[in-house]
Amino acid sequence: MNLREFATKNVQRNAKAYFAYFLSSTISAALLFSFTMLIFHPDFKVSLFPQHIKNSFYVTTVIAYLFLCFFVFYSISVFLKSRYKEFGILYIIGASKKLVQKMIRIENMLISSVAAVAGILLGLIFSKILLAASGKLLGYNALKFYFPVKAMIITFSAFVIIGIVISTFCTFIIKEDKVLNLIKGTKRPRPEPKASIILAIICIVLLAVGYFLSVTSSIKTITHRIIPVTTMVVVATYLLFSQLSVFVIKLLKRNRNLYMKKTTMLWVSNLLYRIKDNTRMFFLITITSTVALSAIGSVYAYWRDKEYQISREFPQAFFFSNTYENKDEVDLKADFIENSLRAQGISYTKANDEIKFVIPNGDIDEVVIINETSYKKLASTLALNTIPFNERETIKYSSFSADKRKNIRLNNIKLEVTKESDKGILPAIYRDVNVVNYRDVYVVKDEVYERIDGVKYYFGALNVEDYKDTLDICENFYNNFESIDENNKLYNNFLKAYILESTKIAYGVLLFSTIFIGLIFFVTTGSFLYNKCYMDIIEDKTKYKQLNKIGLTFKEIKKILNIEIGVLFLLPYIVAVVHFAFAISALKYSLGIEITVPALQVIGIMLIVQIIYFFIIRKNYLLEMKKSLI
Amino acid sequence: MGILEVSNLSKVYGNKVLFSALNNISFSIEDGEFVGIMGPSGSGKTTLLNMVSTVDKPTSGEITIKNKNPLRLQGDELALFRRRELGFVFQDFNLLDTLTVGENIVLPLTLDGIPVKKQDDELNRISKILGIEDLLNKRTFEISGGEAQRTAIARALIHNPTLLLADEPTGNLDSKAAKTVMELFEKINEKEKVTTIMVTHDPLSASYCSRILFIKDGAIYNEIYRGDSRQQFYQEIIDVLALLGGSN
Repeated sequence: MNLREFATKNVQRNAKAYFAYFLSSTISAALLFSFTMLIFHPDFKVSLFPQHIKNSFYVTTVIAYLFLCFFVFYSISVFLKSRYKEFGILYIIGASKKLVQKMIRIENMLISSVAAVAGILLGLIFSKILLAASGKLLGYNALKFYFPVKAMIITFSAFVIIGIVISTFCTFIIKEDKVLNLIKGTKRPRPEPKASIILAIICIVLLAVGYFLSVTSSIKTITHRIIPVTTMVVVATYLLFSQLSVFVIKLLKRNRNLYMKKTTMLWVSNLLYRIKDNTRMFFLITITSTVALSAIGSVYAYWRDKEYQISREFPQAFFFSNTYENKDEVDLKADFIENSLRAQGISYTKANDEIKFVIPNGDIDEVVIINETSYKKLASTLALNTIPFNERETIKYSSFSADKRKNIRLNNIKLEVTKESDKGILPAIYRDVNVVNYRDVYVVKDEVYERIDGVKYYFGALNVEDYKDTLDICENFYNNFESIDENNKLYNNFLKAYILESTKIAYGVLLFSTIFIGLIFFVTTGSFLYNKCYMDIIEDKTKYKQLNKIGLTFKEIKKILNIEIGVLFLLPYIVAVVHFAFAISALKYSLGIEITVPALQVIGIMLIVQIIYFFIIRKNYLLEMKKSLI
Repeated sequence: MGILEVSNLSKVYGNKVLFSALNNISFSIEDGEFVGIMGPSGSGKTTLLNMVSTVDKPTSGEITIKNKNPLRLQGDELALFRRRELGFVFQDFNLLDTLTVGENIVLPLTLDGIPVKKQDDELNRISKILGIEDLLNKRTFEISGGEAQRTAIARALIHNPTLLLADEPTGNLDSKAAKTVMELFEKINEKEKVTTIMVTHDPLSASYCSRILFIKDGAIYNEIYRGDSRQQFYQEIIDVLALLGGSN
């Protein structure tokens, strides 16, 4: 029997012990595969989305891959640790370190490659079902099923590489002296976890700053803040479990009247070790759950809020603009819509006039100015009340007002900003296709308007009572004007009904993808916790049996276990919910999206599922425990 | 009427193949006695201790501890009975390594919701008797086996139990530590009048008892009382064990 045969037989004959490891490897392979498949999906084009969504998507991707690596390494180290005794025997009968390493390599290669294949199959089935389900739910096929060769290759090779890397680094995990100690039966002493007050304070500061930055972010700052805020919160979360929690429990212990009361002493002292021991796991679960929650929550909130968003960004049902020289083209388009509306018997209001693009003195961002006459026209199409103002004043219209300036200098004419309105009167017109920016609109008196130099544009706007009825007109429009627009880069066509429809589809895809990824994350962390729990129960059984002998009642054991399992199952999720609450409020403050209802829905669903899961595990745990008692 | 009355106690294990571990045993222990239980492996001495400590239920027979019948109690009532009336010392100490020595000792009082002040007073009293005042803030892995067993004894005694039950308390200790622990058992028995029952293999440890019950094949084989000399008592134990035969 050579070593290869020995290793292979080891796996074959000890299938039960290897099964748990194999299962977690398979799950991670399925996760890696599904995720990669989605990212490489031909219909999934991230580049179409605004910058802040792109950034969030990149952060999500990085965290997802890191999480996967951690997960694989974690399950391997747990698995290797559970085999210390076996390694001990091998060492004692004279196996060299190199030999043990080689054995682990062969084993790991075997398990990893089989797990990769199983994971790919599992992922294929899973994604097929989900893609079909999404088609049913969203009413159209958001993403089609495809045969992801690239994802298959990546998953398989990643797992083979992991197998090789692990066996090379396994000597870091298996320490020979520890192994020998274990076989001798000496218990490893567990010194009390220590916490550094400085790190605990850093944790609080990081959390506070991170939370503060996220609730105070605006449309201008959110893009730059996503990455630093995420980093801060990630570091703070690690410190929260490794330092702050230890610190708080120790403070609790110092209050002896509280600590030395009934079962409190037992669970508090145990919790100190539990949290410290599980720091990495808590950390991983919290971060991934936060990412999953935030991804699902924000996309869902956006998806729900899209009509309101679109109404704000595009006040009129139809809006066309172009440089003043191309005035005729705008009129042509507006006439086309007008005729179509008339043919369908839809009543409408119409306005057309000119606007100017100006860069205010001492500023970089362009603003749009309109004169009072066209302001009145626009307001009447939108059924808005006009606000009176005088020659030295201006009214600012902006749906995302970031700066709160008191006055503005245009062509060295100083104007006082008297009124601000967050209602839009013009859509976000752009002159340069590459710069999509929400421009603030300033209304000035006609005479002032004439005195200001700027790039002159012409617009035509039409509005109807219910823009959703005009989708077919929009489609006709695109069929008609596609060829005209081809050579002209300076036009703006805003057809609200069409925009709503395409946003629905784009965000539908995104929503589905995030839910898909989130679901995979929750399943994985769930299985993670399940494994953890069943490793703990072996230790707990002997412990509580002894305590029961000296008179700890089952009722008291139940009380302690409720808290301990509760912490294990709910603590990371509760922290994740808090993180999520702050992350999503950034959306509210920066983009003005209504988040309360969708956030509560997402949190509610997740917590309900998690609590049900907790109750199931707890019931089995207690049942198991009761059996082992007298 | 003794503090512990055992009458016609029998225990049969198994469903198809029946094995009788205890066979109609009756004895009584008076208040303040220090009784050792000895016998070869498989003689039923641990089964007997488990019955008395209410951890296991007999097939037939009666047990009375201080006029109370623990066999009538169920589940959690039984656990509470053990917590309040009995004190346990185990071979492998069974201390919790998440607690300090002091916290381990006061655990029975803490569980009963005794005020912290009273817990501290009791802890001081008991730790002085056992000579472990200096260890109270240490962790269980920082102390020796002998110290751990003294801690366990302190935990077993802090709530002034009716009966102290010890299962091979010196089984994991070296001879020096074993001697210290046995001297403490003797001292507690004499000074604090704690009724003690101890199961042991070791004749030397057993020689600290005031009386020894020998069990063989689930029945009482012999019973000897200690005279004035511990040395002589030890010799007598050796003699009985030799007669008893088999491995002790």
